[in-house]
Amino acid sequence: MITFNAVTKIFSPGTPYALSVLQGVDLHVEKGTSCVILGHSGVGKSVLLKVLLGLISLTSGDIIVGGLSVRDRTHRNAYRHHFGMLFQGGALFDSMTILGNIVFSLVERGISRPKATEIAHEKLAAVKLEERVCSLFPSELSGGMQKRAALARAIALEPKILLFDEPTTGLDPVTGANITYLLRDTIRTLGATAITITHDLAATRVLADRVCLLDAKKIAWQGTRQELDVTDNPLIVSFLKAARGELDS
Amino acid sequence: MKFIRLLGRTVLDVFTRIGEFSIFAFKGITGCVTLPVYGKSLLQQCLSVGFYALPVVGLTAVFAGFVLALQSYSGFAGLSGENTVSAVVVVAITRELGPVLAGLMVAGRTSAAMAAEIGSMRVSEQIDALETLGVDPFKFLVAPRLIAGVCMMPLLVLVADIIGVFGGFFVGVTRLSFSPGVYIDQFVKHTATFDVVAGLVKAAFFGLSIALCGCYYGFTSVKGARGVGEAATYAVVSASIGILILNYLITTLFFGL
Repeated sequence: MITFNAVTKIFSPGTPYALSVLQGVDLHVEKGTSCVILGHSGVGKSVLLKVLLGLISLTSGDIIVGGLSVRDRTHRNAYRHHFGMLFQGGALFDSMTILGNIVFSLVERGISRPKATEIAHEKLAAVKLEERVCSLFPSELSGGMQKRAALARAIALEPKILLFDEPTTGLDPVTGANITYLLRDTIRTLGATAITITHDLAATRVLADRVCLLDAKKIAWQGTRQELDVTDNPLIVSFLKAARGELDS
Repeated sequence: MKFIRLLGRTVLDVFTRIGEFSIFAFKGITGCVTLPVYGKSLLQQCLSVGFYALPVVGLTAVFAGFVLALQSYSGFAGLSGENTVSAVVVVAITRELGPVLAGLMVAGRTSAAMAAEIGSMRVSEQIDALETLGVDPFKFLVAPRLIAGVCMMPLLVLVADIIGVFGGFFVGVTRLSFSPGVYIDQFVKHTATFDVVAGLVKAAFFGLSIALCGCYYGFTSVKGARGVGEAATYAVVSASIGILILNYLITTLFFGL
């Protein structure tokens, strides 16, 4: 379903400011599976999602999704129609109400405004947001509610692939857990393929069918959720120790 | 050696910026002439660029008219040319001061606002979200601002011209003891359609410069809140410089000097 072939991303290549972030990343995510990508901060996890969406151009390599290449600009919209993306901060449009955010995304894909409004109400209910938030602006919502509203926007068109960028970052543990379970239920309900970027191991255990570790510009380890607990990969071990509060200072 | 390397890097950076800006301008202008048109966004931008800038532009124009009348009166008194005050005011306002002062005021107000708004959308990933939804940010964000800039600036300048000339008339009549009839007579005699039209054409180009600089620096802003602040500053400075350069070029072109 999603195939990364030797994906390399270097910012400002050939200049003194050149910064290599991804180097020959190979990854295959099967249809209907949920893949969680772990990694330290600044290792390039978000860049990986942005190159997948074609928001950042590749230096070399290719990404194929549903038979379409990210490099093929003539089919860029068809390629992007595969995806629903939950951005780290929600990325709701400030100038629109919550309902307006969702209706806008639907109208842009050619759905009539009355039908779009109906779908928007449905999706807001699906992410457990009350009717009263419809007329509010993003700045009037808490972080958790913004994430829910952004999720409603991401799933409004029932995409085949869901991408979640640090879905629990900045939330308290209880809200974070609620969002995680909401994401799991959403993936199951839509039967979607999902890629989640996180360093939250609790969320990883709930969401992942497969886990990948991004380190030193490439996929350093991958395995199933069960294998996560038995691997001797030192980075995974350090992640697990830190999550248990056992990491040496 | 170090100096040469630094110089070379600076030159390369400048040309890279010019290239990026040209591509950005091309995409923005292309967005203006292709569908879809975002009517609501366009209306909001027209209000922001035009209507909401009226008080500051009007205030600037009226005081420019006051000062111009006083200065030309005192300047020409030694040459017994007091009666030319009306002519000087109308020519200076319609040809130069109306468009340039209105342009600089709108550059300070609107270009910074555009850069800050688009810049904060950039750093909060709203522009990425637009692209992910299949919306072209050049059509949704840039084109309405460019159209609003080009269409509203001439209207603003027309209003500035009227207010500025009225400012000169007010000072002429109340402080310099001109007869209203004579002042108006002189004013009508020296008002040239060509001057007014040249000023409005300048204004349209100034509007384009203001909107392009605001959008470009907002669009390319990085580094969070600090980056947005820098974008607003660069937008105002470059739009103001753009206005001064364009003013010279268009004056040369129109008046064959």
